[in-house]
Amino acid sequence: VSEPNRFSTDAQRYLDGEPHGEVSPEERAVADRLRDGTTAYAERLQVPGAEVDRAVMRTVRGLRPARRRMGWRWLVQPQAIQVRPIWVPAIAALLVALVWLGTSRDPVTTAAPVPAVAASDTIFVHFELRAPDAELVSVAGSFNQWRPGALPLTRRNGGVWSATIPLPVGEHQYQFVIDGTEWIPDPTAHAQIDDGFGGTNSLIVVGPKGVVRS
Amino acid sequence: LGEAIEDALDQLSDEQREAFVLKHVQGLSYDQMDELLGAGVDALKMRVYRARDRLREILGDRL
Repeated sequence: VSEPNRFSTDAQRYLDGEPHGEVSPEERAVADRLRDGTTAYAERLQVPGAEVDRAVMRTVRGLRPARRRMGWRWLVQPQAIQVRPIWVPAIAALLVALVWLGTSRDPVTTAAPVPAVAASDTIFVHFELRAPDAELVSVAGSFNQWRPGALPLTRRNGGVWSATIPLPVGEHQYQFVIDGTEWIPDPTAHAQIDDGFGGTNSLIVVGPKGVVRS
Repeated sequence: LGEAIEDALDQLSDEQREAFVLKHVQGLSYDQMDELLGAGVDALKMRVYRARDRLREILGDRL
């Protein structure tokens, strides 16, 4: 027996593309609408005509979203924050409270090496990696506390993985993570720098009008 | 409807939103999501299920 506004287990399995029992036509229609609406939403996230710029990460101009439209993405996407030292204890206390209140996830370090930036400016940056044998590719960097799974790339034809990610204006370091374990710098990045631990980070500099190439 | 879904996603918990987006926007399998988040397939499935129920509740007649 399913409650109103809830999907039956069979409908959930239907939405997961798994074997399922009977789903009423009405419920199936609702499920299809949810799936189609989500697809429409997902397509709006994609950048139109994202032709490959062999040169690397390409900046997509004129797509800077209004604050409101950023919505929840503002919460989960990387943000560089300029913090005056005097605020650090208060912010630390707030973060501890939020973590304690809101989530079972391990608290991540908030001491990521973020540079000073003009905080309100966000630019869409296109990341791309050719990795035909990978099962999963994501990008991790100073903009997402180096969490390996936070920003997965989408696989396209030919084993090219890509994602378009809003980044705050400023300087960011990152690496690609293949299958959750193998960290590699972006072979096409404009600059690579020593990460201080014997590895190499890729460097990207985002200016107000796009990726800066010195 | 896409826009309504975006607004409705705002109202989900972080965990539900993350699971739903990885599943339906990024198109990952539960196994892939588990690799990313390490929460276990069953728990992730439950988050997606609840996210769908919540979206259905929020979107109401629009679905």
